Amino acid sequence: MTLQPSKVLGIGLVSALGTGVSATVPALYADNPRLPALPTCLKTDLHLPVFDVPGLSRQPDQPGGVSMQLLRLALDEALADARLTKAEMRRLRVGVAIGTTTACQLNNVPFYAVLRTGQRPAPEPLLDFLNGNLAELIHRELGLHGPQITVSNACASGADAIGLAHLWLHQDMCDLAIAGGTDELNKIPLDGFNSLGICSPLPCRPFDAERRGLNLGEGAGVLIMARTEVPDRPGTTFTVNGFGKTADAYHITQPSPDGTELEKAIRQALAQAGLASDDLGFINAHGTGTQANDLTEASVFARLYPDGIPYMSTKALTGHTLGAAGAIEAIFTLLMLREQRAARSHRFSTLPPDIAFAPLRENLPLKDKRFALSTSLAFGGSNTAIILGIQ
Amino acid sequence: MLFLNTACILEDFSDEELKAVRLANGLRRADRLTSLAAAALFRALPERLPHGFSPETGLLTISSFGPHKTVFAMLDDILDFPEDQILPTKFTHSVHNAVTSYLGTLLGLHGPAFSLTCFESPIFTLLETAWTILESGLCHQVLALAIEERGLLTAEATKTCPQRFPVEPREAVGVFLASSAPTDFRLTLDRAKQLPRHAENPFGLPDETLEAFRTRQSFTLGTTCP
Repeated sequence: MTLQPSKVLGIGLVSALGTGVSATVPALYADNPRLPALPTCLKTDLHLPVFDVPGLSRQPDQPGGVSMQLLRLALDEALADARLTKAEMRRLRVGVAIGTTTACQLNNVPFYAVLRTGQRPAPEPLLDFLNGNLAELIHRELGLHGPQITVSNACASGADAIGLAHLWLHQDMCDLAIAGGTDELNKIPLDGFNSLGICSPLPCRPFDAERRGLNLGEGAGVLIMARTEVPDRPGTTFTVNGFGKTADAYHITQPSPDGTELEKAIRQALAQAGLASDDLGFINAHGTGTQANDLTEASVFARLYPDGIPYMSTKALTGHTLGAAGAIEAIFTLLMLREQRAARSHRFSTLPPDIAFAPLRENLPLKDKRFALSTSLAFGGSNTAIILGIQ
Repeated sequence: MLFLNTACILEDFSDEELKAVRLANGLRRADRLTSLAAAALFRALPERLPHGFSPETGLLTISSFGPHKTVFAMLDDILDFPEDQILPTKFTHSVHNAVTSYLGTLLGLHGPAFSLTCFESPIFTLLETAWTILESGLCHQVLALAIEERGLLTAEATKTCPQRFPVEPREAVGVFLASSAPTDFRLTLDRAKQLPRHAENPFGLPDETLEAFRTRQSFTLGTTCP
C-alpha cells in the first residue's frame, strides 16, 4: 500500500558528535573523527571505550533520568527548527512516539541495593521511574492532545517510533507528531553486551574484516513530523516516505543470517513510498560492527543491489546509541540528503571475504538523489526500514 | 473501528502451569513475564498454537513495569559478582522486547512486531496501535498482548506511590486478536472518552469494559484516567 509521505518540519539531535545540527554536520564528514574513550560517567572495571556526549552536565535525578535530559535537548532544537511554540502545539492534535531501552527500566543500582535487603530506600528513583515514561512525560508537560507511545523494541526503538508516527499521520490520528529516540550510557547494557562478547575493546569498525564488536554510545534524536496538508516551513523540507517492519522469528538476540525478513522490510518501505530500489541514493546501515549484524545487512544489500549501492555506518562516530540509534541515524540520513553528500563509513579499511562490496571509503557527492534508506536491526530479530527524502 | 476475534483478560497463573508451558514449548530459559504471556496464549487460543497463525501476523506487547523481576536479577549479578561474570541470559531477558521475540519465535510470526510501554492506558494504547498497524496494510491480523507480572517493584510502587497505585497491580495478561476482516465484535476507539480507572481491576479497566470483553459486546473504548 502506497502512503502519502509525512513532512518533517524540524529536527534536533545530540550525540557524541555534539549537540545540535550545526555541530553534527561537519563532524559527519570529518577526516579525523573523535575516538571513543573509557567511560567517566559510569563506575566500571571493564576496559571498554564508549562514546559519551561531550560537555554534558548530567542530571540523572529527574523523571526519565539522563535519557530524558538528552531527549529535551533534541526536542527543544526540533521545536525551534519547526518554528512551533508550545501554545501552537496545544491547539493541534499532536502525537508523541519515543523509543528507548534503558529509560523504561528501573535500573538504579544503589536504589535496588537497599531495596533487596528489605529496607526502604529513598523513594526518588522509583518516583522518577513511575513518572518518567518518556512519551507520557512529554505529552503531559506540553499539554498535548493526541496518541502517545513509548516504544521499547531494543535497538530499533527510535526508528520504530518514527515509523509509528508516520502511520498515525497517514491515518489522520494527529496533525503533528513528535517522534524519535533517546538512551543514555548505562551499566546494564555495558555489562550485558560485554557478557554477550560483542563489545569491542577498540574503536568499532563496522563492516571491516577486523571488526571486533560495538562501542556503546548515547544520545537522542527528534523529528517534528506533520501531515502532508500542513504548510511547509521556510528552508529544506524533509520527508518520511516509507516504513517497513518485520520479525525474523529466529532467535532471542541474533539476526537471522540470511536476512530474508530485513529484505522484506526494505521492500515494504519501498512499496509504501512508491519508489523503486534505484531511487535510493544510499543506505545508512545499522552497521554495529558485530560479526552477525554486519554480515546479515551486507548480504541483504548484495541481493537488493547486485551492482552495489553506496552505504555506510555512522556508529564509528557515535557508538551504538541503542533506542536512540534509529532516530539519530534517520536525521543523519536527512542531513546527508540536504548536503547532497553521503558520509564515508568511518574506520572501514579492509573488505572481508564474506561481504560482497565495501561501504563508502570516501565522502560521496550525490547527484540529485532525493531519497535514502536507514535500516535498524534489534534483539529478537526485529527489522526496520525507513525511507527518508527531501522535497 | 477495530475488529476483534478474541479479547480476554486472564489471571491466576500457577507456577505449575507456567512451568508446563515452558517445558512443552522449548521455553526453558524464559522468565516469568514471557511464561505468563505464553501460558495466556495457550488458554485463550489453544486451537491456534503453536502454528495456527498466518506467518504475516503482527505482534504487539505492552507492559507498564516490563520484565522487572529479570532486571532486578541482572542487578543482583552486578552487585554480587565481578563485572565480567554477568550472565548473558539475564541481560537478554531483561530487555523489554524479549517477550515479543520469544512469542514471535514460538509462533513463527514474521509480521510487524512492537514492544510498547506505558502506565496511563495500556489496553487502549495496545489496541490503538493494533488498529494503526492494520490500517497501514503492513499486515491483516495482529496478536496483541498486555502483560504485567507482580514482584518486588510492583509491591514497592504501592508503598511509595499509594495515590497512583492504591493496590498492587494485578498479575494479568490481556490477549487480543484483531483483524482487518470484519467481525461482529467491534471496538470503536475514542481517545477523548475518559473512563475512570479501577485500581482493583487488571490494567485498571472499568468493570463495564471487562464485561464487554467477556460477552463480546461491541462498544467504545476510551482511555482510563486516575
